[in-house]
Amino acid sequence: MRNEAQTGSFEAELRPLIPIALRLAAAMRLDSLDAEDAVQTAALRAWSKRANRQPGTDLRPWFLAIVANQCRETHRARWASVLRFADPPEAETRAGDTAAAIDVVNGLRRLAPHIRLAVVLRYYLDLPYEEVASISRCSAAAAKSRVRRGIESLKTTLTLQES
Amino acid sequence: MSSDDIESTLRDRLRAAIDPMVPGPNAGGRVMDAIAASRERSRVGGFRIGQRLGAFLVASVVVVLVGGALGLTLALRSHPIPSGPSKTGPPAPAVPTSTATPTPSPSASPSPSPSNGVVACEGAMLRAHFIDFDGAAGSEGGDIMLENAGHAPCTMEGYTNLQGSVDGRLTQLGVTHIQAVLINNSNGTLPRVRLITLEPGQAAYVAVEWTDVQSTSTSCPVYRTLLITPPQGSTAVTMTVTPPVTPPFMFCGSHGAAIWIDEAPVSLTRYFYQP
Repeated sequence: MRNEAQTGSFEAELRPLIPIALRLAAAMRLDSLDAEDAVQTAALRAWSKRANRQPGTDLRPWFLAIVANQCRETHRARWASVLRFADPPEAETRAGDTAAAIDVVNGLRRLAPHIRLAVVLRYYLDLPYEEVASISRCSAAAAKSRVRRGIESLKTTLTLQES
Repeated sequence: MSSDDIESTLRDRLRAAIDPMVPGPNAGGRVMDAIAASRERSRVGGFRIGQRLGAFLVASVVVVLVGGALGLTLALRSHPIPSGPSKTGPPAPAVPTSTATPTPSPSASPSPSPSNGVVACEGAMLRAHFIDFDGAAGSEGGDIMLENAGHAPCTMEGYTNLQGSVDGRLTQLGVTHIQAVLINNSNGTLPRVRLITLEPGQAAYVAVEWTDVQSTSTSCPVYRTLLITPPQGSTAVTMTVTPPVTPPFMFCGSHGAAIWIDEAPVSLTRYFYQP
């Protein structure tokens, strides 16, 4: 059984990863509320499984893999295991609904989940291929291939053309 | 545009499109609050109780309350209680019970139990297959199908024991028993411990989900063969997967390499089946 210090240590280690987890979830779910739900569920799951993780291992790929998996599962789950609080999520106040942004969102929606995950990890979260591979449970070569395929698909949508 | 330009443009456009959808700065606090709340729930009266002990205590209270109510009812009534599905005595999820709780009703129960002369399933009575394999980012899962290959019905209740086999060498797999919480199964079947009876030819299902993320330099153990012992059984049935239909099990949860293997209780419903 983990003692209080170990529990606190895990939470302290997890806390700085929440922002990047929220960004990943937002990119995968393309919805603010869904993203927060997914991260909350993933965080609870990671917390409940913390004893299974070896000390000294890198928490980020472990946790982000759980988040990515949760994002994939969120639309399939038929029951909620998310704690709700009285404090509602903040209203979106940033203006971002430009035509270009809508194109990007539509382009991402058309990508297969594993391709979208690789593109998002690489170009939105700026993670190295090794970590993209670890989170995507594939080899680095496969991760590069997925990213390439993603770019090819997005080129048309985003009118990105090589010279 | 050069390749570098394309990557740079893609980065900029992703940020412009996705950043407005990222939950605000308070979201992180809410997530951590949820963890804190979960931590507090696991404590009772200043000392911590484990999930299994907590489930046992809850089960005990339910048994006492239900038993007391039934005793009072039986004392006040001279005729039998109308029959219905027995829901008494839910077992603690971590400790499979060896027998079913006797039902208070003298009438026929829709859930036959060993007390009705039906024996507990043994490995030798069963055939095992792995079906509905599903992979996601970081985890894989599917159902172990346990088919009654005998000529008589048998019962199961709770969780199977899992062992991995490599070249005849057996390894006890550490698993987490899941009940009434989210497992990444596909059809929304909520894992519940129930007494089930398998008629000859009928199958039961056990959802397993495991992490295949290797987070240390130590390789995760890989098994093509699992030995599955039914909840109340003493002998195991062997199950071997055949790639490429189902890849070998790469369990990153049993040797400290990483994370977990979750197991749901036996059920008559396929957990991972997607129509």
